[in-house]
Amino acid sequence: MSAQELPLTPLSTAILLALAKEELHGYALMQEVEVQSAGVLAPGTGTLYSALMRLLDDGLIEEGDAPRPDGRRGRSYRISSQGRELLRAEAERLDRVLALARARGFAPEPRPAAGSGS
Amino acid sequence: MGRVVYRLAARLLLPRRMWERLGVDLLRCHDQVMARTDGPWSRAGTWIREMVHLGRAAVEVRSATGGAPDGPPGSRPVHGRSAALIDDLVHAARSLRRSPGHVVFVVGTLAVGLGAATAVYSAVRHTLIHPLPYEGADRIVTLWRTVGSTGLISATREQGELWGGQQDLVEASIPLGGGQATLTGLGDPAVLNAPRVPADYFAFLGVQPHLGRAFVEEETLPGGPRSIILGHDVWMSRFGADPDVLGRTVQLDGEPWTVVGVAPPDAPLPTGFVGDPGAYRPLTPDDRVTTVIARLRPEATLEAYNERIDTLVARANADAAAPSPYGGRATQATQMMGSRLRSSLTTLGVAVGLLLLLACLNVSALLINRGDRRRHETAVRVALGVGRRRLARQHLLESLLLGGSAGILGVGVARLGLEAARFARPENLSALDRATLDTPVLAFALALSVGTALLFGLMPSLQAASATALDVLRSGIRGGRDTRRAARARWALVSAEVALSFALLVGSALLVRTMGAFQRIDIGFEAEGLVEAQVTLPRWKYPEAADREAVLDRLRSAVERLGGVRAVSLAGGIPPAMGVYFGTLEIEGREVPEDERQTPFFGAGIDPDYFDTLRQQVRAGRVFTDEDLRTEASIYVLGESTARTLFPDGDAVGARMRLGDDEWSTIVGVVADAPATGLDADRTAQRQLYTPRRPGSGPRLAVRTDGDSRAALGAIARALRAEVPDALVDVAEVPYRLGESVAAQRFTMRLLSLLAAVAAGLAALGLYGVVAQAVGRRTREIGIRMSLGARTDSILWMVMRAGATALVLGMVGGVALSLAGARIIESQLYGVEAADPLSLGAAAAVLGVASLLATWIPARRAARIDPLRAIASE
Repeated sequence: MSAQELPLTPLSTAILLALAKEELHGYALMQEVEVQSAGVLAPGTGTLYSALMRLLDDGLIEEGDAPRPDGRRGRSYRISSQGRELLRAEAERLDRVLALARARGFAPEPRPAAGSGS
Repeated sequence: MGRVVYRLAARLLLPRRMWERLGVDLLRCHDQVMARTDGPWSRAGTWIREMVHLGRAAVEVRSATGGAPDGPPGSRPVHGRSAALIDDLVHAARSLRRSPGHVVFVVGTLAVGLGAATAVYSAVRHTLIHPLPYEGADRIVTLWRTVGSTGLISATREQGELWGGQQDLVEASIPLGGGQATLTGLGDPAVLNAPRVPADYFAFLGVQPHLGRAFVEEETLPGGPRSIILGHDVWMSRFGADPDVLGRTVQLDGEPWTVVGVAPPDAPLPTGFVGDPGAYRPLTPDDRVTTVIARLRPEATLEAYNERIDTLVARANADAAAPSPYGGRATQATQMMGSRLRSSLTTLGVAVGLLLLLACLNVSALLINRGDRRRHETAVRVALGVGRRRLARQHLLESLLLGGSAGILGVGVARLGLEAARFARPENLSALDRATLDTPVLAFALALSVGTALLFGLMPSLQAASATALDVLRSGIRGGRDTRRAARARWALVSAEVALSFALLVGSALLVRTMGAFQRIDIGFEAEGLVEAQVTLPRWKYPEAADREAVLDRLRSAVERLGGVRAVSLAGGIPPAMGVYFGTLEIEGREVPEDERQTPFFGAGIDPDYFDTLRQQVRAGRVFTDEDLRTEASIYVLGESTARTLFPDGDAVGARMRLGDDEWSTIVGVVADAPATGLDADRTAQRQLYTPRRPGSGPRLAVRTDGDSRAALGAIARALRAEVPDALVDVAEVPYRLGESVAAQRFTMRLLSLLAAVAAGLAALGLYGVVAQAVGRRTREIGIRMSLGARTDSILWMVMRAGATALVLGMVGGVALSLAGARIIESQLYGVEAADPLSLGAAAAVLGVASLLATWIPARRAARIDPLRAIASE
């Protein structure tokens, strides 16, 4: 039933990644996306919400109502089990892409310290 | 305002489903994004970015979820009005993207017009409409004593208390003391406007000090602590915006004053337009009150208040032993704006209005042209079932897109324009500095852009809507009915453009002629080679007249010793900055008509060699002698026209007259009229009078140089400063000062010339476009004519005749327009009639040459057409 197919758009991936960490409100989500992509992704309100609309339609995220930083309650977004599944699939796909790129000399070898876990 | 537009756009653009589900949350997020941004410019940038993202989202969401999710994007079915709107917007944007040159031209043309209009509106708004940045500023009034029919003198403290105490009409009133003070010990000495204000001054205006506090009652008592509040600008420039300035001691007029506060930024005195005060001092009962201002109750009218003042004056006169010669009046403080600025801005406002209209006409002609070329496309769309209404809307949307982009660019142009105006403005138009692009001005720019877009878009869009499917069949045939109608419309538009630019050219020519007339004025003395040095002695250091006289003597000798200096003379004033004498005029043995008694005199106390130094001609009698000065003789020298007016029989010399409380004085001589207040004042109507200079007075030196006065400027200033280091010295060439006195007109002239040049360029461009279009349409006809033996020059003439017709029609309209508009510019003219044949001729010549060029280029191209290829071109 999901219309979202691999590969996910970078913005969808970023949103799912951010929500996988914690449930977030719209503006906090926007900031998190910007921070975790080191500023590469800087969606405006409209773009962010059109992506949210698609993810909601596809059942990859759900609406919640966590308390906001200012104490008031308001709409927040959290990742669904389907979303987690798709995010995992996307990560594996990206991993394969990366492995292939490395093999052909397009990406740096993982540094020992960071690569020990993988 | 931005928020409302965003909300409206989101509601209109986003699919209903998404709006209902996420709309509220989306708006909240948008608010947070905006709240995080500081400063108007970055806010505007963020807002535009948010709008762009909104538009992108609207398209993305639809293509993803609109109908069949598996269909290719773009093939979605369109439902709902807003969806159709998006479609049309996308269509409009795409069709504009196909012709970038066209877009650049249109947007550029409009941006110039919109920018100029926005800048002038901003200036008008901040100077004429809202000159005082205070809440309820239109209720602040200044109280005056009236003198005869001409003069206003400030009300006294007592009158202020009585008139300002009418509590049924007046909310509050406060007295103000004027004055300047010399700030020393912080870099170069500086003279500050340092008014004396009561403790409730800032409360009266409804503002808070930026730092520290307002004065307290204790400080306004005689002998109270010497506390000052610094003006915001002085605090910024002289104290580096030091937040720890409170409690510091500064030297004002050689005395220590303690800083207790800093005034808020942009807080001019509500009495006129002498820049922001540099420092405020407490007003004590010992200080002279120079102005009384009052704030009327919201329900009170100025007329009612003036009637009350009349009653109070009449009652006071009835009680007094001798009736006072003064009446009373309250005037709106915001009305104190100089009429010169008013007239200057009105002229410029009309000029930018015309320019904007011209830009619209130009763009309109271009869009009709474009619509003409897209006839085929339009016809196909009609045949495919696109409604007329929809077609018209698409064209209008295109115009709105163009207008909107031009508006945004225009705001940038306006900002640059204001920046430039601030840089180039003459000193006496300092109110222009207050013009900024704030929300109301931006709203004006937005409204103007939309209005403009509707204006230039309406005709082309109506024309597009009139296309019929039948045109598809005829699209191969040139010169159809609609094309001819479009051509006629374009010629009409171009004629109108010519008329508008003609009127602007006439206006600027008139001002150029005015400036020329100023150059030719007989000023009564020789300004060339004359230098004026104004020396302000620190009064606290030289309180006695004799001390000051000794210093002035030293200064004169120091300048006399310089090479290249022929003569030096001390005077109280040198044209165009003479002093003013008030007082009731009496002439011995003659009755002076009532309404002429209070007319002020312009003049100065002067030395015997003053007229020699200025090379001002003595028409009758003699000038003052050293003996006159030493004995402080009661004698006058009159200006020529003054003598003729007051003594029509030519018996001025030897007559006796007196002004106010002066002694009866004998008139000993008559000299040529001089421009006492500036080149634009009527010298012959001014009353001019000279008196022997009193010792210690007369802070100006008139210096006659060998001719190279510019070279002497520096040497004179250095010599004066070396002699008295803590004096303020201001040295300038007199021709420069005379030029400055008409700087407002020169400023208007330059701006108007610029606008007129742009207008003429636009009109020529419009003419070029239409002629080129006509040539393109008649290529085949021209080819046939040529193959039938028409000569090159007859083809050339045929094309140019059409352009010349439009030009002549436009010029006729332009003459009518400029004569009708003469009233607006009349008050700025000098020595030239509003219906000036030379100005009309000059405008005609400029437009004629520009138009000739604009038609000649396409005409020549027509004449070079290869007949064979032209005939085959269909």
